[in-house]
Amino acid sequence: MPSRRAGRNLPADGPIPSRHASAYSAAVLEVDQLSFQYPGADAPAVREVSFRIETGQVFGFLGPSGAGKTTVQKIMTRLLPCQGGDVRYDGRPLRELGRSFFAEIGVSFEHPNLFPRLTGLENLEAFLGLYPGEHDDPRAMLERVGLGDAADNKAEDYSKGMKQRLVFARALLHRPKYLFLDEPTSGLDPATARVIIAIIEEHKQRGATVLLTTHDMLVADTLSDTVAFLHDGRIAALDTPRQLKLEHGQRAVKVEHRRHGVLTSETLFLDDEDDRRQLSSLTAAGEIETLHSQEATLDAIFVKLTGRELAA
Amino acid sequence: MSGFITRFTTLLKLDAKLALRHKLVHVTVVIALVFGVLVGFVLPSELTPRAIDQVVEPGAGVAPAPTVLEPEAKKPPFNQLFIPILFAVDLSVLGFMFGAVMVLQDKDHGTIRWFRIGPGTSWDYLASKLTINLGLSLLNFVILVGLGAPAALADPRLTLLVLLTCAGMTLFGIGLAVFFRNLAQFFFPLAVVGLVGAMPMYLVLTPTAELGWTWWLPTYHVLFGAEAIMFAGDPAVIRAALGFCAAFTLVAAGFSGAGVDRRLMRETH
Repeated sequence: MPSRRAGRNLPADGPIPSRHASAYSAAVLEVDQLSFQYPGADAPAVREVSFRIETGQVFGFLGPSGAGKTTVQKIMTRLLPCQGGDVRYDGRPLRELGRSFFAEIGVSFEHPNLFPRLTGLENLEAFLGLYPGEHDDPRAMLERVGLGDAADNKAEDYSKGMKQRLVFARALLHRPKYLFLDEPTSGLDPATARVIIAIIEEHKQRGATVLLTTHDMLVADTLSDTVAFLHDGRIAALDTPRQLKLEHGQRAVKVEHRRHGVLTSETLFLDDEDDRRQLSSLTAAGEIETLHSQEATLDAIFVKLTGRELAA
Repeated sequence: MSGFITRFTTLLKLDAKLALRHKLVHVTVVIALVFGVLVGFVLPSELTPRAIDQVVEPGAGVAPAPTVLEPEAKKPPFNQLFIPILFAVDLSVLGFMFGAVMVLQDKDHGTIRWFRIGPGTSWDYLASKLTINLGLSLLNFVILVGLGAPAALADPRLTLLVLLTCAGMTLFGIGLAVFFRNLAQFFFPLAVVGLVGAMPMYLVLTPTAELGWTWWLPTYHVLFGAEAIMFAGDPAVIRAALGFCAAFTLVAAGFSGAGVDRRLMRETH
């Protein structure tokens, strides 16, 4: 369950203050006041970003391209240096962790980085020997993500979606404690995306902590226990998807009903006594043809908070 | 230690597979075969000195024999003289090029980022690439010398000298490639190293003081060291060549180690 702190919205320039850090001792993954500026850039890509993820939770990082999502992930996986702020895994500062830390993480990159002349199976096996401990069967994993028939084909012959699945499978193979998934369903058809979502849920069930970076609000809504909206390198909002929708949406339903042969559509607000009475009356009369709740989508909330489209 | 061995063997298998799939093995074997056959079966082992008049106008009468400084001196077989030159301009440069290519391919395909988020270290990475390149150099050496001058294979000093030079050049190539983004960018340093590395070859053709600075090149030492080993030359030259190449390899190891650990494994783009 997300904590009370995680259940609050934060102002665009108001990250979690570091003085609260001691209260997060139970948190498994803490990010505190993270800042980063690329060499030669005019402005920081990430500004004082703070959040935490409890064991076995999926944390959805939402934002348009260039918002700083991937930069945060790169800092957390040490692909970029930690210029300002701190990242702690089970209370262990990232800066002090040795190479063995990398055996605990699995990373699925948005842009597939594969050995093109090796087969899909060989790509999965390539670095597997570097990871101590048990791991899943590579061929079975390929079957799972729908690449069983292409296991012995060279990666250079894979389509973009197939490469994406191969990179995803590779990230999970050594059963990492922390999973970093960058746009895992990007470019996938809906059926395959559902398989990927199911696999992520399975890893969540086994206790993996997941940082999901995406601009697909449906995926984030389905999987995330907590979501953060990232805009211009800052966290614009951080909460559970349900809480965000309740806070920024309307408690209303849109009803289509037929009276005297005429189809009528109207929005009824659940906080209005007359509307509630009207809804009861329509329900009792059996005249309702369609009924839709009017809660806000994460996409709409993002636009409301930042003025930008999520998929931009 | 067992952790290192496990990681090393994992990377070694991967790099061996990549060397095969990227046809580095094929290129090595073909080049070694071409030069080996040329030296062993096409070029003559002895040239008969003739006066220029006899060459240009055969049967024009008896011309004075050309001047030879030491007529009694034992001359090395003409064809085998090319082997030390090939060590300098072929084996060494291939070592440099293949080492660099392996790093640049990892950058190009993004697989270096994949390696960076795994438990492997810079030293695992370097050791594996060096070992594969030494294997390729040894393959080249055995085919070339086996075809061109089989008896020389029995002298371990020759193998040691060539492998030391190839190790140094491979490490130098890896260390230098770290600073370039792709193979296209690396073409110019490759051309410079190839041309400069070949300079000592001209000393064989035309001994001259103007090229004395080439003593500082590892290719100079592999060329003249190998010549001394193969044709019973001055032991001091052999010792100097082995010493210089060992020192060069150590310096190149430091250079490539620092480059891989401090730059390649920390790149921000």
